Amino acid sequence: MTAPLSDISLKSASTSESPRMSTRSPGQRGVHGRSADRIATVVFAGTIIVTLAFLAAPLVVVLGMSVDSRQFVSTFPPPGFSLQWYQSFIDNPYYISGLRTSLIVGAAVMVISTIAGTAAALFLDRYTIRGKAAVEAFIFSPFLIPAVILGFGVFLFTAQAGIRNPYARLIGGHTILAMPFVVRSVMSGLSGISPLYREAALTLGANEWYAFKDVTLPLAKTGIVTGALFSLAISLDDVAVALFLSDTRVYTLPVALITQMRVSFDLTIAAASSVITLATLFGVIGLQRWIGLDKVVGRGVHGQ
Amino acid sequence: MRPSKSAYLLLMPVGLVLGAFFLVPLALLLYTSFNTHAPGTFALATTYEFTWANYSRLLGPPFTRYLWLTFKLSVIASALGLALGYPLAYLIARRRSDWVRTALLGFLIAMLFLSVIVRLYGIGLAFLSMPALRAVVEAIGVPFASSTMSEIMIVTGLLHVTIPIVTLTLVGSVQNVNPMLEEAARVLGASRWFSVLSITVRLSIRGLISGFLLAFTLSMAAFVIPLILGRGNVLFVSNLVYNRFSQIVNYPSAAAMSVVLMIMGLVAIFAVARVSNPRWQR
Repeated sequence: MTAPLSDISLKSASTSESPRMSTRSPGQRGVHGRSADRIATVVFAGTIIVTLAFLAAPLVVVLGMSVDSRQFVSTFPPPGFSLQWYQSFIDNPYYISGLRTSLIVGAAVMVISTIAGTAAALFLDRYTIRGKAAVEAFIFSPFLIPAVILGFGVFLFTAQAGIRNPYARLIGGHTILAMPFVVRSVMSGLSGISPLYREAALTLGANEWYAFKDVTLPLAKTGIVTGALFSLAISLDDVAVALFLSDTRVYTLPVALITQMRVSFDLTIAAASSVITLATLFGVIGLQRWIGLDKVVGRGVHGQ
Repeated sequence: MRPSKSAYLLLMPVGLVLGAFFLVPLALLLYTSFNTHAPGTFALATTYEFTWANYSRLLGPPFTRYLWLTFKLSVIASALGLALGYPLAYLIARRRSDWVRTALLGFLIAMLFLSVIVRLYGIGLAFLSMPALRAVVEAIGVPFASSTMSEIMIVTGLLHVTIPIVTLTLVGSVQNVNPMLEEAARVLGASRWFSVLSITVRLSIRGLISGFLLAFTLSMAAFVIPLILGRGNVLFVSNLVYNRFSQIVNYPSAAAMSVVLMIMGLVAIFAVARVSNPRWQR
């Protein structure tokens, strides 16, 4: 039953199996060969280039067409340069009113959601109570609901409750959207801070308020600022909720742009879009300078 | 640490805002969805008559047709988003911290921050101002004014939203797979692409699934994208809700659709939670 010694082969393979890849010549390696790898690399690089071009193309078109010297939408790229569409945007009271409303609402939403969200995050970070998971789930639940539904629901509520001021409605609706982001951002910022710092400050004689102001706040700064910026961006960008809560006199810039877009693809919208794009670009560059994008995404356990 | 009575004050602002502008609206929504619609009543109903009719009407066309469209296009956009986003995520994750990595991350985060309106407008304008694109599409037999074209444009728009989010999520996933494992596979003779597929992709499968579900949830809830790029012949469920609010003023029906959409979204999100939970893998 045991095989004779002479039958046991010291080679790396038995007679019925194929030899290991490392002992074969490149041509024999089939799917593990060098040409397979070359094809895979081309596909890989190609996909990345296509994806990046795909993402960037609409922005290029918008920026390019926004300086079109012609009077109507025609082929890209435009033959002549003109700032007429930017002028048209600034001169248009419809858009400027929308911009004004957006900025007012956005600023209010940023302030309210940052203060309320930071307070809640402080509580969640420091204390444990029974049902803490339920509280956290509740605070994050607006994430789970599509914005359209939130908009419709807030409309029903404000109509029923008699809240007629459109600013109040818009601010309320946007705060709901933004607050979970703020809480999450501040919580992740707070989670890196050891509770010992605050306790040290308290031992040295500071009261709660000073301990917060001079110790916790500076350490949590990145989380709070990120959350505040997120809330501003969410408010400025929202369409779904604002469509329900705006009225004929008070409306946000996105509502104005979308309403116009359904009628015609006027190049004034291109100018407005370019302005928004540039503002976003500055925002992200500022974020990189101040906080560092790696901190926003993280490097993982095996980061280099 | 147990909180003192006054510490609960920290939770009060959030609680008030959420209670008023979130809980009450959702409750009102549910309540309205069971009301009988009285045609011609503008704004809120003054009478209330309980009925299941708003829901039973959702069981057949046209709602099922639009629900299917929403579902189909969301799945396509999510799957494509994964396929296109993974190579990019892999590149970023395996890259040393240098300007390429920062530039790519910055680009993706900027795309996240960038108003969806700008991107939508860009896609629409691109199709309007580049006859070459129209020629390509019509060459494969899709007339420009058809609803199939609208579907293609909607998927394009959805991809602009899903790819950045999926890619950024996957970067985290891939980063947590030890690169040494791939090297080990290559030492044993596997080719580069085979080792990536069988090792890194396999190990980041949880990230892939939750990325897919995240993209899917976002796509199902999409509103502005189908509104503009659908050009009126393709509608998502969210657009139906808005129509019932603004054009065909039927709040109970809109409310019923909202409830259905909400439940579907919650199911998808709980699926994400189960997948991300470590206990899922035994």
